[in-house]
Amino acid sequence: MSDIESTLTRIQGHKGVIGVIVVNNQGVPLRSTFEHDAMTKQYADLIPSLADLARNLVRDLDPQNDLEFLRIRSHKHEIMVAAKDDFVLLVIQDPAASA
Amino acid sequence: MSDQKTPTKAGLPPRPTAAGQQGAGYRPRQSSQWAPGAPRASTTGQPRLSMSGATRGSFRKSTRQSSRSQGGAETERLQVVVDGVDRTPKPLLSLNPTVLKGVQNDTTTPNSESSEFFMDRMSTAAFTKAGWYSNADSGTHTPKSETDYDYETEKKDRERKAAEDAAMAASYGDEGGGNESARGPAREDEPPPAPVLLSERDLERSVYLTLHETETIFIWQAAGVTVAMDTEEAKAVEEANRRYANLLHTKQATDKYVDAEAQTLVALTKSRDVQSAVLVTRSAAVQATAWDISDTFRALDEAAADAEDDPRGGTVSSSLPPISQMAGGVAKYTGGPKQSGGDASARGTTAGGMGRTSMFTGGTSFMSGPGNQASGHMSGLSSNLPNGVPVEQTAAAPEPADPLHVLTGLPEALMLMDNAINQNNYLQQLLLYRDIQPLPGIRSSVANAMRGAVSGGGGGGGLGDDADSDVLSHTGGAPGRDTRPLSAAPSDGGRSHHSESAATRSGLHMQPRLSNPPGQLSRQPSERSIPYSRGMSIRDGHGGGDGRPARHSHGGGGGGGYAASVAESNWPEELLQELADLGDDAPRMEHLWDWVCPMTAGKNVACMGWNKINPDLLAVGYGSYSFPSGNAQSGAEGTASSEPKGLVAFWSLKNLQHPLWSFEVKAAVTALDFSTYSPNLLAIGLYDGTVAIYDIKSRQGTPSMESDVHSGKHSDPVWKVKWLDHGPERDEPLVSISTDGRVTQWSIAKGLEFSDLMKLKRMARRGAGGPPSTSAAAAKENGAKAAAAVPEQQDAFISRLTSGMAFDFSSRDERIYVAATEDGWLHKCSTSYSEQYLESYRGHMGPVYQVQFSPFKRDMFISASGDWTIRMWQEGRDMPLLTFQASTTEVNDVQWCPTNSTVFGSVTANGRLEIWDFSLSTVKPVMHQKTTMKLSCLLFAPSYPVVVCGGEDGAVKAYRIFNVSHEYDTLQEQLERLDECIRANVMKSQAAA
Repeated sequence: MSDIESTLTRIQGHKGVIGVIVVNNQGVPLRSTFEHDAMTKQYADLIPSLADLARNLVRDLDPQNDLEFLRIRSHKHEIMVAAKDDFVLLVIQDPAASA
Repeated sequence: MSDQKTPTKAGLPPRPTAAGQQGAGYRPRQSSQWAPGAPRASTTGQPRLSMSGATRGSFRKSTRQSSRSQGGAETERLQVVVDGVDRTPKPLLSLNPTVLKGVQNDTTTPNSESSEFFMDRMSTAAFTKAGWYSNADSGTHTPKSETDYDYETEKKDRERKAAEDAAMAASYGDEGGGNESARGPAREDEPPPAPVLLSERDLERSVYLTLHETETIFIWQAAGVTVAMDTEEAKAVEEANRRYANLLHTKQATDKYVDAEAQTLVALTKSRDVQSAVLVTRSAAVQATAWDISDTFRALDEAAADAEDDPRGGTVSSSLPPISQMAGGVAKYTGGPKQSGGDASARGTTAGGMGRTSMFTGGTSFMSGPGNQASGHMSGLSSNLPNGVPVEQTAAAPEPADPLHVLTGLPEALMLMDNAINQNNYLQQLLLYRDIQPLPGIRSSVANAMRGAVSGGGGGGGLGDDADSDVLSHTGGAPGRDTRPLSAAPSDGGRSHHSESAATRSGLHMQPRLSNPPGQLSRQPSERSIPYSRGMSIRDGHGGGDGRPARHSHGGGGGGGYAASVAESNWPEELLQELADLGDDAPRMEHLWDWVCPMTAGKNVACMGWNKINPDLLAVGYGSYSFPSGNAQSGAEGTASSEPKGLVAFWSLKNLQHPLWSFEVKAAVTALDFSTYSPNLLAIGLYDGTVAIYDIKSRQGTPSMESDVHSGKHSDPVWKVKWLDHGPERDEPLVSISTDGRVTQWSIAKGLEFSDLMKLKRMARRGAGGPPSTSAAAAKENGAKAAAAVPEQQDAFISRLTSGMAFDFSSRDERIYVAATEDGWLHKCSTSYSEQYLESYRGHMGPVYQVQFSPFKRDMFISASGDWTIRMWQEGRDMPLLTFQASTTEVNDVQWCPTNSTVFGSVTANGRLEIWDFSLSTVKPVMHQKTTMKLSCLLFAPSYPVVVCGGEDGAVKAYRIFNVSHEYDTLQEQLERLDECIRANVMKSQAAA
């Protein structure tokens, strides 16, 4: 219980972490550190579908395989996605941020 | 409709005739209070006859009505007045009598009014009649005015109907009263209806109702004006059309043709035969991928296996809802596929998932069926997967506590995420650790953006270390070296690639300039195939080794935190000069990171150990009390029992800020070691003397095996545990050494069995018990040191046993080991003899905290002691070969560098991490790092040029060391260098003596 919370706090405390979002499998954001709901909604709408696509790819190639993790490196950010059956955990990090 | 026309045997009174009029169909919205005459006329039997179509009947009736209306046009009319307003309903279909009246009474019609032609009135009437006929057919005409109706006719009609009804009622006995009473009150000319009285007999009478299907009653029929092209009729129609067109064409040629205007009524025609809504077809596609099928069948198999295991099915086990749920679902599916068959086929998902989904929708309605259908296979996936468990959990635990806790796999995902972010943040340091040179392309494009961040982080850490270490006080010249720190240090945070490359270039430049001999130049690009010529000076040898390309990559990869730790103010001139000559290849070290988290902060790091199989896994033992780590002082033992618990944490390179796992133990951890052949076994020695073995695979904080008082538990702190590597065929015994003087071997084959290898007996400082081969020089040194330090204990021992502090097994002979004791002796022992020492080495004046055989020269070992010295020994020589002393504090740990035979590292109680290279200097360490805390242990990373050390603040610091390792040297080369150094230094020391 508190383990989850502590890990979440730790993740938020990492350098360059912009936001942490947990989206359940119905697309509802359960947890977000973004102040703006619009941003949360946008990520929560867009990323899980991409994760689904990625999972489809992985599993199509090998049904015994499964998607663990997905990283999207953009000019500004890195979006890291851990997609499980029940939820999608995504963290947006700015690797160039200082402290 | 027309229920009263059905032969009912019931004694119910006939309904008011309004219903019948509706059945006649002309006024569907007619209220029962008012019955116009026209339908009335038809009710006398017309509906039964009007099978073919109401339109013809209507025309007939309307003509009849109009003919009747001629007679009684002035008679009273029926009106319904409600609240003073005339509410008399108007007929929906108006066969407007004015037309007909107009014809016969010479009243005008619109048509006749406007016609100014020669057509006679009758023909006009006929025309309008036809128009009305078509109008009635089209059904679009609205009632005009009720004043044209002849209510007298209707009244007569009604009376006649009433008479018929009465006659019919009379045939059924005494129901006439009811019949009469049902007459609408609107008939004001009727006598008031008799009150309804039901007798007892009425209630008891049997009532028979026979329901028949009524005849099809056409309320309205309009034939279409179009016919289909493929019917027989079409030809006739086409023929007619053609003839008509022909007629029109020829008509213009006739004499009677007049071009004139005429106003006619537009015949609204029905242009199509059948009118119906467009059939909407919908096709839903479902994708069943290979993995979907695979999952489904696996879930089915698992469920079947579960069902076999547990015949009770889903009746119990609320603790395991998913399994029972799933079993139930599958049983439902296999048992009654018909039941959900229609559903399943309608949705078309794969069968197993469907059965479960339908069960879910029935049970918890968590997963909505339409959603499942619409979103296709994806939500099908979530229901298909066997571990899609939270369906039941969510329904069972609806408390609003935290929705995160019902998500399975979230902790693992968070851990993964944590690791990923860590990898991002420490990318540069990790690359350094791994000795990987970032590709220039990557660095220029991608890493350039993050370079500021990473090297800023590294620089930040490095800056902190710069403050710690006494740096940058160059006394000797070495002007070339100054360029490097100067170009690096100021632009630490955002050092550009350009400046770094410049620095590297300058370093490269310096290399040939400084290494003047031509032979040196020629050897520079050489690999190890070129033999070493040991006749050269130390500097040359080092320079030649440094001339390799890999070495330059070290220099180039040096991050921002580069501190010139080689520089120290009080170093000997010649060493400084040598280091200066090395230029950019001078040994240096750089702080990478601290393995520390709030859980471990403040706890003393007592011991560390790498996993033998996974060299990225470091087990760290913590004991959060203030005992001199690696140091057994009898005063500390008294408080041991009340000390807080120890901790073992497993750090890895994956996450530098949080251990992979950790567990608490009952006492402070003083020693630990990973097994080689069972890498999941961790042996732990505790401060209370316990030796425990943990299976870290199980991730349980309880030991798999543990020594207790009956099974040879040490009575004092265990200072070292080590698994002996006897090859994969033989079992792997564990050896421990403790303050109680026992060196104990443990076997885990059956429980934890122990056998004492040796009881370390106290040795006299001097005299009969002394080593037999004591040389004169040794005796002299003995005497001097003994007089200086420890009081003599030559006659009687208070305790016969001495405390063991450390041991190490020789790699040359697996039975040989060297045990280090608290009283300063080192004893070479054999596992074959438990009573006597093979050799004893003396020289240390304080407790010896660590001893280790050289990884290259297998009869040489090194020891660290509380007497501030590090000594190097060789088997067969009871005197130390070399003695190192750099500070006036205890040396808590010493370790050989695994990649360079002349390098070892040590940590001191005042917080110095020292790396010695006795090929360069035996007086000062070639580099050192000053920390603010007392350091207790260090380790070289087994395969990377990294050294880690831990101290009392709970942080395990990792340092990258540059220009130290000679990992490309062969063993022969390493030995040659080692021998050469030792020979030179021993000769030097002897000459000095």
